[in-house]
Amino acid sequence: MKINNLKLKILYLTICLLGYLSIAQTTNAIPLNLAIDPPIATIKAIPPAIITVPLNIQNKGDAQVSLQIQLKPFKAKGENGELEYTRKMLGVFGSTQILDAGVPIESVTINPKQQKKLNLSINISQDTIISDYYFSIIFTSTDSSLAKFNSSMNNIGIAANILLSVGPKETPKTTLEEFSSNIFFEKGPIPFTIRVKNADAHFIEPKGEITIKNMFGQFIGKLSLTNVNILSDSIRAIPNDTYMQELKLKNNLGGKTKNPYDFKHPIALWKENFLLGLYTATLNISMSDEGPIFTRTIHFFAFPIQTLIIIVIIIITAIAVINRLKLYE
Amino acid sequence: MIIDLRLRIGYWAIGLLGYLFIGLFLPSAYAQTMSNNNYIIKMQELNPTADINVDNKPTADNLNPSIPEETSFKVRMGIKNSVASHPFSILLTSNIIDFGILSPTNPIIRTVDLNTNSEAVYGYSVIVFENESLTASSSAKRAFIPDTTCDNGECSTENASEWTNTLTYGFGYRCDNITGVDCNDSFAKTNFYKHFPNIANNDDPQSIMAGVGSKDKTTRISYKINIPGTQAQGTYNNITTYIGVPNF
Repeated sequence: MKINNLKLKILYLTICLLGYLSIAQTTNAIPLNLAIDPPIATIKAIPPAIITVPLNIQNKGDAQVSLQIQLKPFKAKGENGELEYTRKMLGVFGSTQILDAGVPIESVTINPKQQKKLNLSINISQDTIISDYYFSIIFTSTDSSLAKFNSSMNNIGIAANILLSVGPKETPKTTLEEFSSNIFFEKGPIPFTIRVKNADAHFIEPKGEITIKNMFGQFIGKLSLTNVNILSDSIRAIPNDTYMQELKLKNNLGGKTKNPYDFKHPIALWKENFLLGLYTATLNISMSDEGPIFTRTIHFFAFPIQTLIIIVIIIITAIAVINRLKLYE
Repeated sequence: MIIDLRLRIGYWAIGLLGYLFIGLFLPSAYAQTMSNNNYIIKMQELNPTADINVDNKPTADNLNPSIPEETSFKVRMGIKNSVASHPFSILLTSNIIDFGILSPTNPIIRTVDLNTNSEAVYGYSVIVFENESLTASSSAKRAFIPDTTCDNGECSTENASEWTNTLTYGFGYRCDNITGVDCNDSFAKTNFYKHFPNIANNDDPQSIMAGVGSKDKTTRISYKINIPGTQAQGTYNNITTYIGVPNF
């Protein structure tokens, strides 16, 4: 059918355009960007106590976000400080609230490039069970609108970890599970494995160092261990800053380095390249301010075989050349 | 050159007055406070006219400055000796993945970038899960695209395996490092996929990237869909959630 009348043509085109606009879906993809401070808080309390911890949640994106707030208990996963969530509910959840200007909230809306200053409030009553409580406060975006095209909607979340220890300070029940290294090295750096088991009811923050002496009894190295939290009833491998820096270097180079260290197995590294002879490494570690203190010593031997072989080959070659020259004379 | 005596006296008088004027407005030394996230150091007030007392030493309180110290509890925020200038953060470059029109045996791959800043912690991980399989919301029978099990039928929420066959159907994902090396090791080989943990099936969320605390880590997440000719027509949707979790 041909439409000759101009008015009819315009009307037809307008209807088509309106129809198209009403059917067509626009995809407004927006980035989601959240930040939290502090990412971890440790609390040591003796009942009764009303604890308040400030929490800053920031929307660094360009669109308003609505965040749902959840409390999730966790336990240690592996020995490197990673966590995994559990399904059991903690006794303190009933007395834990997130407050916005003093008002308990379960969700929060934050405008673009804005931050919200909230407070975590925990009421530790006199009858609270003496124990540790580990949980994350998770802020998750809640966009559940389904598009009218094949799609996967993405939500984003960010967590802050709370290590809450309820009960008086006592000497913790801990064991030094491992302090080891290889017996023989051709060259450095030297890796030490330090694993501490915490069988106590409360988390601990051990402080320790490794001192290294050469075969003449001279102190030639000292490694300060990183201050990490070891959860109740778990084992953690303790690294040092050098190991952390090596991992960061590996990250920056996109993994294109020869260092074999990985994030899953923390170690303490002694970066000394040329080593020769017998060495003694002594670990001194205090599991808490109240003790106990463990001291353990190991020995290792270093000999640069490759370098020595090269030197021997050079010497033999030099002698051979000198002898040959003497023959010609 | 100033020869006249009166001029000389005038010159000295102006100089003296100027000195006294400046001296009157010199800043005084009072209490100093230096702090970071973990410590606050308070210096006692300095009194230049008093005798120096050897007991007037600086004091260091090992407590966060914003938390009042109570007798019944002690709080420490952040990690010890942290020099991080940025808080822990996570960025996803898009809130939606548009798969477009799905056609049988024609795999579709879409990507989104995931970035973390974990300088403020020793380590971190990002966990991921989906609320359900890709489901046709308008379909009366609730048709869905199942999560892939890859070419050998063995990939899962934890284990990745190869998915290249166009006759292997389903919905899955993989992770590629852009900066850093934090994608899960199981994605080291190309074309290796997993499927998202499905909360509706009581799957546990899985770590998609993890690593040491560092400034800028970026990964690219690729979503892949392939459907058979028998797939019911409809609009398929689901919700995927990424959560940045600091280590303890």
